[in-house]
Amino acid sequence: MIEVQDVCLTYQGAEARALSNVGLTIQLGESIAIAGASGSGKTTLLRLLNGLRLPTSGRVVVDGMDTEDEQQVWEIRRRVGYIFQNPDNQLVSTTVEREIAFGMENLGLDRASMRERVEDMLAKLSLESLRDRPPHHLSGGEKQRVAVAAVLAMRPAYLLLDEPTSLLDALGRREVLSIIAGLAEDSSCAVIHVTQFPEEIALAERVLVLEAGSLVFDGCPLDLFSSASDLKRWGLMRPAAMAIADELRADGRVVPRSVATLDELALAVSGDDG
Amino acid sequence: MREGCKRVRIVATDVSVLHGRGFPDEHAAVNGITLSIEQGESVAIAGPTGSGKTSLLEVLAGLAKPTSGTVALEGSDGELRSAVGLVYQFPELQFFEESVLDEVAFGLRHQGVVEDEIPGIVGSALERAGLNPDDFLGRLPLSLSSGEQRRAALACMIALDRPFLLLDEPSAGLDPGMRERLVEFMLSMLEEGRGLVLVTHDLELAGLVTGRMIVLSEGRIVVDAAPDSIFRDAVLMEQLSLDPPPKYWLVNRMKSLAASKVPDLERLLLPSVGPHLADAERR
Repeated sequence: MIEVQDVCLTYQGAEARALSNVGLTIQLGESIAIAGASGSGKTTLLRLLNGLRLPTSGRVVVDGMDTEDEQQVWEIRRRVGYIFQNPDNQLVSTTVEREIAFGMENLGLDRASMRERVEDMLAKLSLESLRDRPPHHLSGGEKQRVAVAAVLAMRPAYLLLDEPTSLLDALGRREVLSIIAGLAEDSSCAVIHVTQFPEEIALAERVLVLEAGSLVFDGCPLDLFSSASDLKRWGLMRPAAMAIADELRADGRVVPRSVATLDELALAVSGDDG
Repeated sequence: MREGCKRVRIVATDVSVLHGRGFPDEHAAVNGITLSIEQGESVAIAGPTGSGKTSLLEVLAGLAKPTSGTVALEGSDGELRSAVGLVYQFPELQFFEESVLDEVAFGLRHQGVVEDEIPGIVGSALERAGLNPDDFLGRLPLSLSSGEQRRAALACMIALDRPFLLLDEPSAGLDPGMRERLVEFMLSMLEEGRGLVLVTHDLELAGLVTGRMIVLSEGRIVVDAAPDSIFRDAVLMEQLSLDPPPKYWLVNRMKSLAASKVPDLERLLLPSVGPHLADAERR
């Protein structure tokens, strides 16, 4: 469990608080999206969860360990994996294979299980053909997949992702999202995912919305997307399928309320009675 | 920009860029590309990750030399590099000054703009990029949020007032409101007669602001056509692992379901082919 207790954070030299009295609890097994306009504090909140940032006031407690406690910081980082928006900020090794093994080496894992996990990750993220390539020679999207693989190989209990798909093509995005979905189903793991994409928000069980550093919504995506006026104020959009469905309804077509994806919408309007 | 000057264009001839030269992973990021982009034109460069988009952009900006082939500015005596402003994918990698003011002023000072004029130019560049100068001039660039950094990087290039603006993934990490303002900004750059080249996975953005889309795969041009016609080609989109904008995706999917209602819905959802198609047809 990660507990965020009445946390405020003010960056040095800034007048306004980046986060204001935020309180929430994250349980293992949860799949959470963090959304909000640019500058609303999404990345700041994410960085508090593994102690990359410390609160100005209030506390963040990971499985009973306070992130302020320097003795515990490595154990916290082991349990809480972090994937940066820009993969260049976390790639350090000379080949893709070594990059994936790097974190595990620091955990002191034995060689056989390291090999096994490296192969597993290479396969899951379609990186086999790149295994001997230096990460810094890869494209932005390929680097992102390597970063995801390297963090997942350490099997963190909590996985934090800062807009991990913003640089990926459709295929890469599907791959990363299916991995996130797989982890989300695992009750021993929690996924916390900062994203601007309404389709990705819709995949989470729970959404946190920040507005100017305050937590203004904590609930399920369906409830979030049903409130159009709040969405606009919070700098969010509905999934395209929902918006297009409304457009079709305005044109007098019957589209069931349950339609949430483009595929469902295509099936619904292609039917005989639509 | 001066009125009535001759149309300037960036011409790339048989350009290749080798990456990892001398290493076992040596490969051509750009592989024999020939193309020409005119001032006033708006072009999207798309393609799967690793297809050479960013490498091509750097070469077109004159910031990287191709391994073979040439890139030249035609229709002008000026240098390629001073005709093109490039905004990188990761703005945080290009910041080094202590304040947003100095960051945006850096290029201007380098060009020898007199100090008296700088605050005015910087202020209006920030405003056009969507940052209020009063709030941001004194801020440390690296303390801004990623969306704000992106706009500050854009302001650096707006200030330089170049005929071509090249943008690498300009909408990544922007919230919907900022994305809308980015679209307005790009359209205003086009109205001023500038050339716009954007590398993007955001094909909806490409459809909104460009009249021509170049799709790369493994360093080569696969298709160079109007975005509308590319989005309607479901087979090609799948081959390139690209998702078209949602409405096109929906229409393509309905076609694959062989629905009789498609023509009707297609007219409703994709009523026109966009204001920029005229551009593509003119060529």
